[in-house]
Amino acid sequence: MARSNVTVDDYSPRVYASIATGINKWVRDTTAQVELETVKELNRLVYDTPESPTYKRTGNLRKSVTKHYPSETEGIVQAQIDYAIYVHEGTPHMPPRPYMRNAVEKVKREAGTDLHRKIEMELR
Amino acid sequence: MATTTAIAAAFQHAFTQLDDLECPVYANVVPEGGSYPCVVVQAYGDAFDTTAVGGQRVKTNVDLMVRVAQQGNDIAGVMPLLVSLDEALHQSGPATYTAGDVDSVIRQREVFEPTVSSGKSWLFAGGVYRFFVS
Repeated sequence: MARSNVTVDDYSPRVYASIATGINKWVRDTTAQVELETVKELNRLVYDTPESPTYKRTGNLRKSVTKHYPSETEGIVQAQIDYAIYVHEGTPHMPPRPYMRNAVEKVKREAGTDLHRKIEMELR
Repeated sequence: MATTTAIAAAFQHAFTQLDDLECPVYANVVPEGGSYPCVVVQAYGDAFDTTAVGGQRVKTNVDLMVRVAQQGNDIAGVMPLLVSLDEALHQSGPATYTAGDVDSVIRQREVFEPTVSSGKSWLFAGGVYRFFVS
């Protein structure tokens, strides 16, 4: 969950609407960033490594990374192919390649400061 | 200043702590001909640095996936090994190694993954452990 320190002393509907818009924009931008970083991490950890002689890469895992927004304050990024979890978590016979965990950690480090900027822009 | 080889230090600590386990401990993957049950220690993603003003590296958080691998579905049979593994790693440290100093270790989450592969049942269970390395 992101936290932001923005102080307001005007409790009018306009202010509430501006804060909600700022949060919504932040959710959309951050979700899109996580999706982009997930694909970058997949490329780095999987597709840019030497190919195995025992199976052919199709790119289906990368193509299955999508995002959607169940509500104004939620964004979800998924890799929808059924073997995505095995690539991400690995097995004792294959090392983990946590493309999504890396993406979230990268974006998380910048997301908090960006939230209060988005809210302040809407309040102006 | 924190070490440049934090992941290596975390592996050194994991192998030192797991040395008394009654099964083989492997790094990265179970080798061909490896025996079961065994423990596999794998790096889980990038290790993120905490840096101070001026760019001085203070510490690095290293996540390792440490799992027991066993053929079959015998959960009860693998339980003593799981308990020993967690007792050896969780809240262990501080310790000094050639690759760096491990300040402490905390389990981030438990993992439990029964699966079927090539017609055989497997059980992979353990946890993701965060090593704080300086």
